Amino acid sequence: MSNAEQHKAAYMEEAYELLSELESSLLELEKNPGDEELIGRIFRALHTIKGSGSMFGFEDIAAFTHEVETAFDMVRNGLLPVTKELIDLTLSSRDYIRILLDEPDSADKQKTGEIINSLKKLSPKTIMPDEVKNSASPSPKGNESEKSVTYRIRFRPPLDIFTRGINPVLLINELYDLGACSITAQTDSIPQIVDIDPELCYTYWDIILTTALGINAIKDIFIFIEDDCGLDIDIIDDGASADEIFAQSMLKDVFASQGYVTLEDLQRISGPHKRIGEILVERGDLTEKDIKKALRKQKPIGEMLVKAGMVDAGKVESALAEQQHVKEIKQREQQADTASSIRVASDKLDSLVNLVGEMVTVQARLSQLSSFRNDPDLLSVAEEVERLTSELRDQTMSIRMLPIGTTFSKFNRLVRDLSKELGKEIELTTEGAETELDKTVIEKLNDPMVHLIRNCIDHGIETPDIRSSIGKPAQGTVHLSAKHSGAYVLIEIMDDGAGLDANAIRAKAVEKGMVAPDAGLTEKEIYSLVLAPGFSTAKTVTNVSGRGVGMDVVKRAIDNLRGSIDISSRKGIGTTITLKLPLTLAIIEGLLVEIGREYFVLPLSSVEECVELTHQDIANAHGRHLANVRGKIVPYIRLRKQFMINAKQPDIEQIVIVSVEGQRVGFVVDNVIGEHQTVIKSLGKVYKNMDGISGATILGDGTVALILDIPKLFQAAEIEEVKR
Amino acid sequence: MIDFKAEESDNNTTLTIGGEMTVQNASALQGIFIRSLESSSNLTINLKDVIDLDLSFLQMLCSLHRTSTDLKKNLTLAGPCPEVFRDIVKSAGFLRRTGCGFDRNKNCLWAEMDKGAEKEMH
Repeated sequence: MSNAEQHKAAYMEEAYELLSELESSLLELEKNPGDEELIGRIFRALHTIKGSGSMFGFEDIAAFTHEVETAFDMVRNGLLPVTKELIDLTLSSRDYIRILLDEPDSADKQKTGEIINSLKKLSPKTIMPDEVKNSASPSPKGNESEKSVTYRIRFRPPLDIFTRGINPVLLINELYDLGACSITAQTDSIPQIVDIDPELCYTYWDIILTTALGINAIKDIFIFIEDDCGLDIDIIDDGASADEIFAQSMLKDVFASQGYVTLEDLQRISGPHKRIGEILVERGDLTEKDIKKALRKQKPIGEMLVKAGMVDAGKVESALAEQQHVKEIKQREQQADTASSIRVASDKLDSLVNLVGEMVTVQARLSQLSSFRNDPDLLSVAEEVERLTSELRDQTMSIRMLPIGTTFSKFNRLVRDLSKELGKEIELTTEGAETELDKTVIEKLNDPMVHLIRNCIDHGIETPDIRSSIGKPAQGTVHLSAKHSGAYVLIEIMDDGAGLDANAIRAKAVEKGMVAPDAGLTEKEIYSLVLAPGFSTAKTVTNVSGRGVGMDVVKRAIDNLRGSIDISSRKGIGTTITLKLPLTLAIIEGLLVEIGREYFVLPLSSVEECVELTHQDIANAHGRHLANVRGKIVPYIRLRKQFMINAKQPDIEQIVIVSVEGQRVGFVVDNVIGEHQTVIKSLGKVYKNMDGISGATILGDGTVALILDIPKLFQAAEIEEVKR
Repeated sequence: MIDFKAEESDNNTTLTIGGEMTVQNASALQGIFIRSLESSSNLTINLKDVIDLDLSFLQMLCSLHRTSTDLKKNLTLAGPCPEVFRDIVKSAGFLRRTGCGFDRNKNCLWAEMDKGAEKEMH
């Protein structure tokens, strides 16, 4: 990737982030139209998208965003009120910018004009440019809490600027609106009176400007002639990092605060912040060598003060020590700031996880080998490696964890737009946005969640008039919540709508031949029918939902995430859909078991206990697959039978008792080997339709162990039981 | 539209100019300046009738000053200068503490103005 491409990619990544920030800020602003901080945040997002856009060659984005930014500049200055229309337009603009980013060629140019015109219509017509200017001064625009940066600007207008109808003096005077500014004209290019062409501009300017509005605000002023003029902008003081300035001013403070000398004395001796020599060298008017030559004659300030009899050498020494100390602390703080977070490409993380997976497998092999050899030295190394690998695994996994809040906030827009489209009033509330989930799980969760929320809005929540007529508040609520539950995360999508109509679902299922008319189904079983392919109870098909493709897709997606869906509903009160998802998809803690010469892994998080199963126990149960565990009956599944393993059955078998959907169920195996860090490998397409197996893992000696899909095995056993 | 009047007395020419000293009239003004400088070794320019001006005029004054220095002639502005002129000089960033490298006679038009302004302020 070339440098330019890398910059473009970085810009796009930044722009996507800014766009999502823009969206969430706009939605928040809609609720709190007076929030100045939000307005500032929106303006800054637009400003950065525009500024960086033009810097990296996204001219269309820059030009378009400029118009939206202008509108928000007016909002910022109190000239334009925050209205629903403005929010709508800005949201459409945000979507359009996204199209320009994704597929610039397919962007509808007409739309640009439409949005810009609508935005312009919103702008108050009575405002003349002068008034805007006046309202911005005398206090320059911008949030005072933002860091002020001092720029050195050299502006060389094109020679023919007068004939273009542009007055360069008016142009540079616009800089006064941005902040404190000093302007010096350079006249050295002006020819003799006989040679001068009076219609050409020979003057250029050096400008020092301190502003918090950023470099783009400066560039904007020169935007009309930026291609033809010479415009050099350098930062000479970014407000914090100029150690030189800092150190110098600090030395003064130290001296003054300790009462050695007055500030006036020091100012007289040490002069202005940036030394004149530095400025001349920076501008290229003098070389550093020249300065050094001249400076050799000058003594350091401390020495000068001592010589002048203002302060003794010890005091200077202590002040210098203090200066050095504070400087080091400042540097350390700065280093800490830089190191607090870094941005890493997600594919690098994926490959790290893969490597850790391999490492875990190799470590298992090492552990196994060392226990065979029974060499104490080797054993201790193996143990150490095991400890480190386990830590490495946990750390790597935690890096991949992201708060689910990012996904939640995306749905705000969905709810807003859909409810508007359907004429419903719906509020989205969220809880547990900080709950962390593996990045892959979060990514794959987006589509199913969109389906579920669409369903809530379209089928679940009634229109305001119906709601009012049945005594519900006109505004419906969709509540999203996330919380941890062991190795799983539970995500609830709850609405206060009409609830599911069990009779209607049943009737529809019968009509479609999915269940027998006389089948005795519990309410939960009826609800789970909506997850079947081709099922939809919506009377009319809308473009929002109701094509019957949603719920089975949701089910499949959640199944692929090794999760489960639970539906509960009360007619007239609302529906709650609970998604249970594993924290991670890459490595799990498993319980390794053996049947014959085959190995299997059960996810340890669902294992409750292991008990023995003797011939006597089997005889006592009179042929039924039930075990008596401390006086309680636990049904069990014989995995030997399930997987048709014909090896010799041991006298004493083991039951691994797991918890499935709130019930205790046993799985009978020959031996329980123990805990196993399981790197999950997918089985590949050939085994796609295999029920009861969710993946595989490689053991230390290279043997493959299958990972059991406990809910599926349980369901299969239940169906078997019903058939009997 | 510009108008001008030249008055001579004791080896000194006072050129009083008035009207709009803008780029539209710049070529005409250049001619006037060249002729005035040719005919006098001490030239004073009086701007009291100037009603409008732009950067082209400031450039021309600078250029005239530079040429007069080379020709070892004297160029000064008759004070006090009108406000419209002082405003443009200031906003165009022409005010100087000291003259530029061409100002061998130490009589930079803009440095003088700065001192004048200081005097006025005091």
